[in-house]
Amino acid sequence: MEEDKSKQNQKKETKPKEKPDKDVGKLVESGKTLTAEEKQALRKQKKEEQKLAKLAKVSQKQENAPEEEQKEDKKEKKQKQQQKKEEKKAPHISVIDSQKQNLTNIQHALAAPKVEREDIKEGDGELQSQNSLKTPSTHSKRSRGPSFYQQNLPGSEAKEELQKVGSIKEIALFSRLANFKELSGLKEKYHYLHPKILDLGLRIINEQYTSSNTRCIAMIQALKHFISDFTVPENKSLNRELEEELNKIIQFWQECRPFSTGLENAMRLIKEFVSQLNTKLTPTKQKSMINYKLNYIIQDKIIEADQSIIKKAMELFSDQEEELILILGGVQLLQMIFQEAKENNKRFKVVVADTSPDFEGREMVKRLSNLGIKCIYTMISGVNFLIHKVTKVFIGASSVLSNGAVVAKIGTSIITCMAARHQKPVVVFSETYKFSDKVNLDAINNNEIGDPQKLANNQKACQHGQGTQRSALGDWQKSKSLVLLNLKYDLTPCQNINMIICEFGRIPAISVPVVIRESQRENEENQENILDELDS
Amino acid sequence: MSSARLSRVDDLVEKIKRRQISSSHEYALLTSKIFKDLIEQSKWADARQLFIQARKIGKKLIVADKMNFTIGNVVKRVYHIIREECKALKISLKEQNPIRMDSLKSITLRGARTNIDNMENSLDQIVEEDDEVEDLNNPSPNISTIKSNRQSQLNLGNSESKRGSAQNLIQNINSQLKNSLIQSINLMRDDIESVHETIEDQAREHIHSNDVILTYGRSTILNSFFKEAANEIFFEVLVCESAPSYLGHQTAKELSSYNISTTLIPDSSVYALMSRVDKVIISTHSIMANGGLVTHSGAYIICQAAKEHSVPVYVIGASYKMTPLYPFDFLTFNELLSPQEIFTLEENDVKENIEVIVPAYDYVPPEFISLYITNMGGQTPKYIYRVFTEFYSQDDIYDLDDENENEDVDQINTQ
Repeated sequence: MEEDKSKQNQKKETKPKEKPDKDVGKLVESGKTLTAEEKQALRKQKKEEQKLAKLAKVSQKQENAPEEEQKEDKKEKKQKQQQKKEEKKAPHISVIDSQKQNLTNIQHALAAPKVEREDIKEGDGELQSQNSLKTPSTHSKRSRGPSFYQQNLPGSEAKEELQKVGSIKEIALFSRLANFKELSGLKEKYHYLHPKILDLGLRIINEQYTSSNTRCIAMIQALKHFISDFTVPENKSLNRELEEELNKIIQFWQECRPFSTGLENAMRLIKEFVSQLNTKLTPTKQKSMINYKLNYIIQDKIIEADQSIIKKAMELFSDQEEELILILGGVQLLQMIFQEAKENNKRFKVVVADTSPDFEGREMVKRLSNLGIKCIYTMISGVNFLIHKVTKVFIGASSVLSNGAVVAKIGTSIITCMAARHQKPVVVFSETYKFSDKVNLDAINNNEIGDPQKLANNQKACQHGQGTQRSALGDWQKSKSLVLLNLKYDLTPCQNINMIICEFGRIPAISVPVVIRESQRENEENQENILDELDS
Repeated sequence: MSSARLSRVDDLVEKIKRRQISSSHEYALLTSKIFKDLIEQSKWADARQLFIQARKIGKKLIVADKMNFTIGNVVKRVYHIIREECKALKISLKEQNPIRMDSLKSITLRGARTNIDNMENSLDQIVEEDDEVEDLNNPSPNISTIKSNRQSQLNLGNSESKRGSAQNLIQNINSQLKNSLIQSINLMRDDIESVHETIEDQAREHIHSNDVILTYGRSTILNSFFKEAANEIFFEVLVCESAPSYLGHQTAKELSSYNISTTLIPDSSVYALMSRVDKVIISTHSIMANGGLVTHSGAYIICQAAKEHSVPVYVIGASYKMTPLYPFDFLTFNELLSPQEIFTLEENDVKENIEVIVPAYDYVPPEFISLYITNMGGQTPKYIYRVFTEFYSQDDIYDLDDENENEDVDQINTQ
C-alpha cells in the first residue's frame, strides 16, 4: 500500500495540476487517522517546507497564529471524530513521511475548492477542519488570484447573505413540509467527501442547476469522478464500501437541496446496481461496469429520452394554423422542443407565464426570442387574459406520480386548471426516469421550500414603496407573526391533464402505472444485460 | 358656477388622472363633497339647471378615469338623488296645495310661458323618464325653455306685482328642494363615511376561530376587517403577493403588525395551498351589476382555485363600489399596464419577438363568489342587482357616454 502511494505521489509531483483531485478522497481519509501529536509534528515539518519554498513568511505566521488557537479548541472534537472513524474503518497506520508527501499534494489538490469555500463562509470560525493543517501555504500560494472555482460560483454572495439571515421561522400550518434550512456547517460536516462532490453540492446550493435534468447529469458526472478515484481498503469488497460512500454523498446532496423524484430514481438505480455487483470481479472491472451504467443513465434515460420526446412533440404542432402555446417559466426540455419546431418551420407563438420570486420566464423569453421565436410574456395573473387564444398548454414535469398527478413548477396547477376550464389541451413532457410509484393528492405533502428571503428581496416590490415604504418586508425576520412561504413544486391533478409524452410514447395520465411497470422491467433486463456484457 | 368650485373639480380630476389616491373610500368622499357644495352654494334657477350643472361636473369626473368606477358610482347616486327628490317634491306640492297649483297654472296660461310653468316642467323633465330622454336627445326644447325662462325673468321686472306671489312660490319650491337635496346628500355621505364601521362589525360573523383565510392585494377596509376579528379570535391569513404591484407585501406587513399570524405567498402557490384554506376573503375594485367583479389582476386565479377546491369566496365591498354596468369578459372593462412593470429589455434582446402583456384588471364571474359583505349586510351575487335599484336610476347608467348630450350641455352653457 505504501508503495502504491509513493507511486501516486511521484505521478502527482510530475503532474500536480493535471490530476489535482486524484485520490483526494482517500487522502483525506488517511489524514483523518492522524493523532494530534502527529499533526503537531506535521505542522512543524510543514512550516519548514514553507520556508524552503520561499513563501511570504510574515503573512504565513500571522495566519498561522490564530489558527493554532482554534486548533486547540478543536482537538477534542477531532479526536472524537477520529475515534468514530477508527471504529468504522480499519485504521490506516501509515508512515508519517509518506503522509507528509501526501499532504503537500493535497494542498495542491484542495487549494482551489478550499478557497471557494472560505469565500462563502467568511468569518466562520469553524472553517478550520481537518484540512486546516495545510491551509497557510495554500492561502499564500493560490487563493489570492481568481481561481477557476471562484469564477464558477456566481452565487457565492447570495449564499453569504443567506447565512446572515439567521434562523428561519417555522410555518405552523405547513409544518409537515421540510422547512427551509440554513446551510451553514454543511461543509464541515461533509469535509471528508470528494472535492468534486463537495463542489457540486455548493453549486446546487447556489442554484446553478435549476433543471432537474442538468442536475442529474452533473451529479452522475461527479459520481463518475468519485468512483474512478475511489480506492478500496484492502480486504474489503468494493461494492460494500462504495455503497456506504454513496449513501453519504447522497445524504450530502440531499441536504444541499432535496432530491426531486427523478433524481431519487436515478440514485436508486445506481445504488441498486452497485449493490448487485459481482464481488468476485476485480475492482477495476467493477468500476468500469459502474461507469458503463452511469453513462447509460445519462445517455439513455436523459439524452436519448429527450430526443425521442422532442420528436414526438413535433406531431403536436398543427400545420394549418398558428399555434399559441402556453408554458410556465423556463423549462429546458420545452426550449429544445421549440427550437426543433422552429427548425422544422412550424408556425407557433409561445406565451411564457412567469411568477415571482424566481422569474425564470424572463430568461426563457430572452432565449426563445434570440432563437427567432415570437413570445408573449406575462405574469401568472395575466394568463386568464390570454387563455382563450391559447391553443395548447405545455408542461415540463418534475415528476409524474402513479395516480397520474404531475409534480411540476409551482403555478402549473392553476394554469392547467384554467386551461381545463377553457377546454384547452394540456400536454405534459417527462422522461420516464421521473415517473414515480408514489401517490400524492395535494402539493403540500411532498414539497420543497425555497429561500423565503427571495420574496422579500423582490426588486419591483421594493421600488414600489418609493422611499418611505422601501422594501416593505426588509425586517420581516423580526416580526413574530409574519412568515414568507416560497414553495417550489406544485401538484396538478390527473383530470386536468390530457396527455403525457414520454419516451415510450403518448399516454393518458391514468396509465402512468403501466409505464412505471414497463420501465422497471426494462431496467431489470438492462441490469442483467450489462452484467452479461461485461462479464463475458 | 363659482371658479373656486371649478378649480376644486379640476383638482380632483387631476388627482384621478394621476391616480394619486389609492383608497376608493377617499375618492367617494371627495366626489360627494363636490356635489354637496354644488347644491349648497351655487345659484340655480330651477331643478333642471342644477341637474345640468351636476351632469357637467359628473361627466368631467367620470371621463378622467373610466376604470375608476367609484367616482362614477357616486356621481350616478347623486343624479338619482336629484331625480328622486324632484319627484318627491312634485308629489308633495300637488298634495299640499292642488288649488294653488291650479291657480298658478291659470296664471301661466295667460303669459306665454312663466317661471312656474318652467319649474313644473323642469321637475317633470327630470322625473319623467321618457320626456327627459327625448329632451336630452333634442337640444332645441331645452334651449327654448331656458330662453323663455330668461325672458320671463325679464318680464318679471315689468309685472312684478302680478307675479310676486309666483316668484315667492318659486323661491319656496327651490329652497324646499335645496333642503331636501342637502339632506339626502348628507345621508349619502354619512353612509359612505360609515362603511368601514358597518363592515367591520360583521367581521365576527364571518371569521371563526382557527380559520385559515386567503387574501390578496391591499385594502384598508379589509385590513380593518381582519384587525377587528383578531381582537377576539385566533386565525391565520395567507396573503398573495399580487404581482406586479406586490401590494400584498404591505398587507402582510400591516396584518402581522396587528399580531395576526400572516404568511406571504407568491401568486403561483394559490392552487397548491388552497386545499388548506377555509375561506377566501378579498376586497374588490368594483361589484358589477351581474354580480361579478371587475377587480385588480390576480383575483381570477384565486377565485378559480377556490372554486376548484369548493372554498367559499367572500368579497368585501362598500356600497360605493357597486357599479351599474355589465361586464361579460376580460375585455369589457380592462386596461393594460406598462410592460416595464414586469419586464425590462436589454440591448441584445430581439425586441420584435417579445410582447409583454400586463392586464390591470380581472373579471371574476358571479358563479365564483359565494357572498358579498357590504355595508348593507351580506348579499348574494344573484340578488345583488336589487340593491342597485336603490342607488341608481336606469337612465343614468349609460347615457353618460352619449355625445349628443355633451353638445347639448355645452350649448346651454354658451347662452
